Amino acid sequence: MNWTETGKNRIKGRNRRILVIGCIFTVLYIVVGFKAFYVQIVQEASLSEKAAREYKKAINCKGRRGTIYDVNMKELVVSARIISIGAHPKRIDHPARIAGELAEYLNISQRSLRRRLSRDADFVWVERDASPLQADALRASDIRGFEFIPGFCRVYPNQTLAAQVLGFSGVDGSGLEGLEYYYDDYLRGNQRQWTIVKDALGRIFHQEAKSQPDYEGKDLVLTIDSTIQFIAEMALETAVKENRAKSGMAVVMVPHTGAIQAIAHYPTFDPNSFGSYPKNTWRNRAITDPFEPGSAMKIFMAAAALESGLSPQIVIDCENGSYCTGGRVIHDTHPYELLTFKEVVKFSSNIGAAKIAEKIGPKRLYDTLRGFGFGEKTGIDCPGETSGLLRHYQGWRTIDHATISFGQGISASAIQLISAVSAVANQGIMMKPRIVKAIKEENGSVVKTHGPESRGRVISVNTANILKELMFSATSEEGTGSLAVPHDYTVCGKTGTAQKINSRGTYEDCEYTAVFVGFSPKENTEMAVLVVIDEPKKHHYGGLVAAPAFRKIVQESFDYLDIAPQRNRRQYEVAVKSGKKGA
Amino acid sequence: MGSGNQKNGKSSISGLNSRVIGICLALLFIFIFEFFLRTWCGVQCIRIGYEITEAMEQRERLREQKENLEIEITRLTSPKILNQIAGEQYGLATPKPEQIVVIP
Repeated sequence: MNWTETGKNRIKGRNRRILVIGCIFTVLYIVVGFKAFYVQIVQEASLSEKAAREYKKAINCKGRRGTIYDVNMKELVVSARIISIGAHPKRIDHPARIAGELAEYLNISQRSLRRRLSRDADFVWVERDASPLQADALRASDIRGFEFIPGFCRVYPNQTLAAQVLGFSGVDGSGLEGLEYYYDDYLRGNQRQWTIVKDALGRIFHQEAKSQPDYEGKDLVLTIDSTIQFIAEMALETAVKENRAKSGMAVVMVPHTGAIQAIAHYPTFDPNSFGSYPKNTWRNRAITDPFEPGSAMKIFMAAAALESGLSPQIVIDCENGSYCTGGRVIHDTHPYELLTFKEVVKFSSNIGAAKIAEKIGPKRLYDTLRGFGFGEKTGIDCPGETSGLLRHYQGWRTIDHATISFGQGISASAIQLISAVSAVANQGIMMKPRIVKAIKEENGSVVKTHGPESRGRVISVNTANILKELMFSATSEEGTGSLAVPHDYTVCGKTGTAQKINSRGTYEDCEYTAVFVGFSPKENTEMAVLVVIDEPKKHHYGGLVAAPAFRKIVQESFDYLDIAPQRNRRQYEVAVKSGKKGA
Repeated sequence: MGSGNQKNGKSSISGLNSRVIGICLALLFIFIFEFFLRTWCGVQCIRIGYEITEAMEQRERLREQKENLEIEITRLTSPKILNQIAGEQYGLATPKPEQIVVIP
């Protein structure tokens, strides 16, 4: 019995202890439960946010800027990956020592780096366009306080080629000049946000992109042909250097489509390091700068005369080289007595042009020049286009009427002049000049195309054909533009030599603009070319300075484009007709 | 008889208890298995996450290398460089008009 009671008491005692421990555990579980409820439910939002801040990070990155291609899809401008290195100076303990250690990895002096790292700022840029190798070296040094921000920089692999056309963009990726500026809205990439998840050691184990499919910039396909552009640049450089000129420009255009194949400038600059070049070399002067075209304007004076019904055989008294009109005396380079209208153009007589202009009256001349687009923008897709200067005929004095006929008192841009000459080659139909052929997505799908756009007929087909003959005669052996004719090709063209106006508004005696504008071949014209040489010192006549550059551009471009020489083509046609093909 | 019933009752209770314990153990085993399975899945997920990140980084590095090489090709095939190499290394020049023979 005692044993039984003792046993029962022991069991009771054990059960009590179990009950007590059970109660303690229950209380503890309840406490833990409440805490868990408080943490998981009540404070869920704030704690989740706090945790996310620790291991999640949102990274903003800009989409790649679009590529610019030439007409044959060769890259003219591309974007390359770079790393921008920044620093948080307040997190860097020994700026002087760290600057000493890191300066060798970066393109920056130790002194400059130390100054940046010692600055009282939350963030400073150390290097905006570091190479991945530099960034890797810096990462390997394992110094805290630095930040590596991926991005892109613009690379111009052809260096100076078409620099003024392409322009350049700044460190923030926005276009500053040329097509980079004009088409910035298309080229610029959009912002894209990435969320990365890091572990306690800072290693990324998950990343996701917020979907934005069109974050990459669009690509431009130009009408520029990089080989013709190179040919034009080389010919221009030679002409400028040989004639010790101040500068030069050349434009190549396809008359029947308005496509610009080349716009060359000399001196030029390298957009990869545009800051090292004078600012006046940056702009596309063929679009932005007007100049007096000189005798090249006689083409359009002749067009006005022909449209008014004047015959090319009409005889003009050229006053033996000196003619007084409107109280001023006009001179010819060489004195002529009687010249036909055709010969006035062929020998480029100023007096002859002035007298023809007198015959047709100022209104007809003004209307024809306006019809060819002088005094208004062509609408080419390049920034800063000038409209040139063509005053209304009602404001012309007698002398203005005379001088405008041979290209003084009127100014035009290179693009206006070549567009107008192209209209002659295109049977009187004026085409809008264009430099961008298409805008494409990165995957190749076309966003927008710029096809040939007609600006209407400016002269009749008959007038255009007679003008061709007149221009063809100007490049004959006796004409002023004989040096412009390439071997075995025909050229219709016109020289121009204009005195330059100084800051006082008077003409300088020894500063000239030498011009040659024309197209080739005469039939089935393939290209129109304009060469402008500014302030040549050796010679100053357009026929001696600009015409040889024209010839070189046409000759080499035709070789490149496989346009068969006319003589051989004729021989071939004769051979075919007489059944000797293959003989 | 009474002690026999008591014995039967005890054995049925102990049988019931052992079934309950068995079920509990099975549930516990399933729970622990699921716990380990979930932990293993989590670890695998993170490991694969690291591998994906590394593969993506490698892909970016290779893409970057490819892009840089493409830029280099573009630079080397630019008309200026080709003209320079053709002239300086191989003595080539643009043919003069009289040197060109067009075969009909």
